[in-house]
Amino acid sequence: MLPYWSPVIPPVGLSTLKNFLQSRGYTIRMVDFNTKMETLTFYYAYFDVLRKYIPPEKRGTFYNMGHEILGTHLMAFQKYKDEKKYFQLVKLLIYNTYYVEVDHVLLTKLHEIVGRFFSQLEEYYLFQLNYEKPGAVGATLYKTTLPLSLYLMKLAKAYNPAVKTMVGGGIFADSHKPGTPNFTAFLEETRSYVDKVIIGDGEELVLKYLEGKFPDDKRLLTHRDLEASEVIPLENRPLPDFSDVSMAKYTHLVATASKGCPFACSFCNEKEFFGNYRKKNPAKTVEEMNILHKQYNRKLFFMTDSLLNPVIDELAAELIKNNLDFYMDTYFRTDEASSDPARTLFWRQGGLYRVRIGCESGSDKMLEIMNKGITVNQIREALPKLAMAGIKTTTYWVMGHPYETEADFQQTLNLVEELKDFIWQAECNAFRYYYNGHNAEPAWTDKRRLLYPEDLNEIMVFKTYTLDIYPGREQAFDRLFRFINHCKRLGIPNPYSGYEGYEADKRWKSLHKNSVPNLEEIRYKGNCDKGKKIILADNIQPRMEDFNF
Amino acid sequence: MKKYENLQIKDLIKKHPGVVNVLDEFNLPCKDCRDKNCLVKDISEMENLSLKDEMAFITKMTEAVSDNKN
Repeated sequence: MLPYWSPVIPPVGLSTLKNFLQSRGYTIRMVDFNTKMETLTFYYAYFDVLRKYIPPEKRGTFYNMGHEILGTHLMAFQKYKDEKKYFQLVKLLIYNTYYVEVDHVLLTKLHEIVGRFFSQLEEYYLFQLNYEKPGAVGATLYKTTLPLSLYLMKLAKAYNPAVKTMVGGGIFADSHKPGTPNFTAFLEETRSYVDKVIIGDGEELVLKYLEGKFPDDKRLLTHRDLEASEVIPLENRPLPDFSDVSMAKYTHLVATASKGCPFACSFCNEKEFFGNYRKKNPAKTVEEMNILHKQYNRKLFFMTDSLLNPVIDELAAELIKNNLDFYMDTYFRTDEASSDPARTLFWRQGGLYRVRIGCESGSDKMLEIMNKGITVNQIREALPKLAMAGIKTTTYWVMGHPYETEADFQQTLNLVEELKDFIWQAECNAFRYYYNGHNAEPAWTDKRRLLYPEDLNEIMVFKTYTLDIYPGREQAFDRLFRFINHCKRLGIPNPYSGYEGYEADKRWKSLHKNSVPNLEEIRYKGNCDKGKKIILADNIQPRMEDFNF
Repeated sequence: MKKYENLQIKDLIKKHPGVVNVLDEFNLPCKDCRDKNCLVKDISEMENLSLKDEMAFITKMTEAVSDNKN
């Protein structure tokens, strides 16, 4: 697992693959670069230097925004031949994110920091290749891990051309979805050093590949390349083996109650990536959580489900039935159930710890344009009920979506202000256009254009597009900065570091008597809020079982 | 060295006492630890060795457990 992957949720896909392949007789070693000291040193060195050039009012979600710069920079560093063009690109990357002009001093500093990190990684990776002498190597690709993963795949192939190389990961459900120009560019770029590209769950496909059951010239492997009899049912899929991961450096364990997504939003590719929606028996999910808990001494689980809504009732009931004080952090959707205080209290009692909700906008018009399938009233109803139960609410917002007017944007600011005490975290992003998969894409076809000049695309490898539709990219970022400053004024946090998370939890506890414990309180077993009495909202009739919490 | 990675450090010390010198060289507190239960493969990560030190540590541990030593 290459940088940069925020060390919150351990690499579950690779760890599951490890366990599965080990059970089939293979020896698997996973190297997680994200917990290495040098990775953190590099990351903060890069952003500390950059930060000095960005005025405070434009820092926005500084690291989150900066990842796009860093990712493209790391790719350009590998590809550039003409130094002038390379520096021109880095300068433009910064301009198109923070809308500030930077000088050559900064560009040189960033270049040195990046160069030093590449040297460190290369030396270490070659050492590991020499020590392990692997027959096959693989990497999982996300937007932020892509450039360094490709670099090391290339090194592995150069080190020993007989080594089998493969990649998979979430990027193929997102910015590099099959059918997009970036996917085509990916296949072309990696032709000489990545043997197989795996889309979706990798266990069965990797095994089949290692057993030599795919022809050499077949690079792309998906679930369609499996016979029905070869597919492992959801109930029987292996658990992750985190024995190669420094778990002390991660806050969460990982569990899965369902795969795929029951919804078919036009901006999402979950269905194609993971196949049809399947639910696991909740008793099985809880059994697996308990196994992992005993093994790794953690109680907080990140649920990998696309959305936990369809399974939360059964899961909470099962956890209560088994008297297990586990906590779940998950993606969620506002719906009728989450506006019912009896349900949110029940979920809280069952261990629902934090919900991550895509609210997106305070304008019904915009939610309709995005095809979100939710309304502002649903957000308005659900957040207070979740908060009253003490569940932490992380809300995601998007600024500058095509056709968002200033009035729509104001509605978002107003909604956030109205709901401020029910929001644990407000995280927003400026709208970014990916070539494919977006709602109303056909209507946008003739409006898209490359963000960077054609002659720089060669060193970027992957292209960045933008849309010539109001409000446009610069306005979107302007609204992002305004949104963040608005939230700051209202005291709504957007924690990034552990300390900021701690402060956000302190605020949450002061606002909500049922508040879940903070991360440190539940990090290790033995410290939980079991036994704490849930305080019911005024309009709820007490049910005795609620008081058993 | 690879075959010992999943051993607890106390078992490796029993088998190859010379590794104690390597642990000392890298200021790793294993020798004085009461339990010595950590797996060999986890030590460099747990003790936050730099990449350079981790490579040197693996190299020296490999030498220490090679057949002609200890």
